[in-house]
Amino acid sequence: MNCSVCQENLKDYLTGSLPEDMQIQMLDHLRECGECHVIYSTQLLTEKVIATEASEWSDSFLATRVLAEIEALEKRSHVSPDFSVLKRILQPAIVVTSIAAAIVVGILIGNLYSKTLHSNVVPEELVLLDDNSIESLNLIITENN
Amino acid sequence: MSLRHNRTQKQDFHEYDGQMSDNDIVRAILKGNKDEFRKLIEKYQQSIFRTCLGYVHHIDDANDLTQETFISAYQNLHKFRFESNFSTWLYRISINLSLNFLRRKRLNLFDRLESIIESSSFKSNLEPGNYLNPEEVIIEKEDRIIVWNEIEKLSDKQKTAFILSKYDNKSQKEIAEIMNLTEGAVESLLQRARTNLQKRLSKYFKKK
Repeated sequence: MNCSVCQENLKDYLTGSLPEDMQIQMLDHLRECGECHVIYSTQLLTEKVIATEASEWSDSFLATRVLAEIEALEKRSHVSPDFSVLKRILQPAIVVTSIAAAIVVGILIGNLYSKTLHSNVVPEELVLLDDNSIESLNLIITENN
Repeated sequence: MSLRHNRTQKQDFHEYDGQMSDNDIVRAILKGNKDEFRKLIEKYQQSIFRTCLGYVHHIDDANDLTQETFISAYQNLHKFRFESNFSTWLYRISINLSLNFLRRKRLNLFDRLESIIESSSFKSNLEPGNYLNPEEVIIEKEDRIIVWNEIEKLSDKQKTAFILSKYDNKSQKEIAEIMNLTEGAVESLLQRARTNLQKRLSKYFKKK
């Protein structure tokens, strides 16, 4: 028996479904060939681990728990009012209102700022000053001298 | 020792009404007869549980995922279009939930550390000589962890095809329907999964 034949028949060897003489040939080859033996061992290990796990049973009360949970969820959805419709109308309205408010506030601030800058009110210190009565610098310099 | 799964039901369940198909039951539920849903749960819970277990390798988590699958199916039953089998649709829900569970687990630092610690404590129980007589092979906990970790390292598609094939004995045709692939693509996925597992597991064995 060669490695190729052995590896082809490993699956059937694992399940014991090969004819007896073939089983013996496989066993002899696996004792002698390290590479095939490793392949066989990994397959066997995997199959055994999976078979052990797959034989576990689910919770026998699962159906009852699922139906109880479904009923609880349905009760919760009936108790709380359905805000979804209100949400669909209110959300865009809130967004639009916020933008409009921001624009109005911006305009107001802008108006206040420009009034301050271009105000016609004369500060108190300058009230007494009259362009016509300001003495020329030349006159002051002459008198002091 | 037979490597086939023991499929006999050990728990009692209500007799499934063979006259009503899954689609008939779904229609009845959609009309308001929600007690009919129990029939679908009892019919598919063990298969869905086995599939979830193939992903998470933890009985409590698998039970939780199975429960979540059925609750999600019920809540979304109005979206079922009767274009595929109900079971196909149900399996897709459970696969998505299981994969999401694994992704969340990978993001969790403590779970990651735990799996690294477990991997690093592997003992060399895997002597090839022990495996010549399958009946005498006793699977140690470390052996199980090795295999589970290597299954988890497969890509999502390879892992799904492998789990449906090995844990739930699904045919390539059934797997193709669930995964929305061709049978050829499923065969290729299974072959790659087997090859990858073979390569990775063989490093744990001492060669003669």
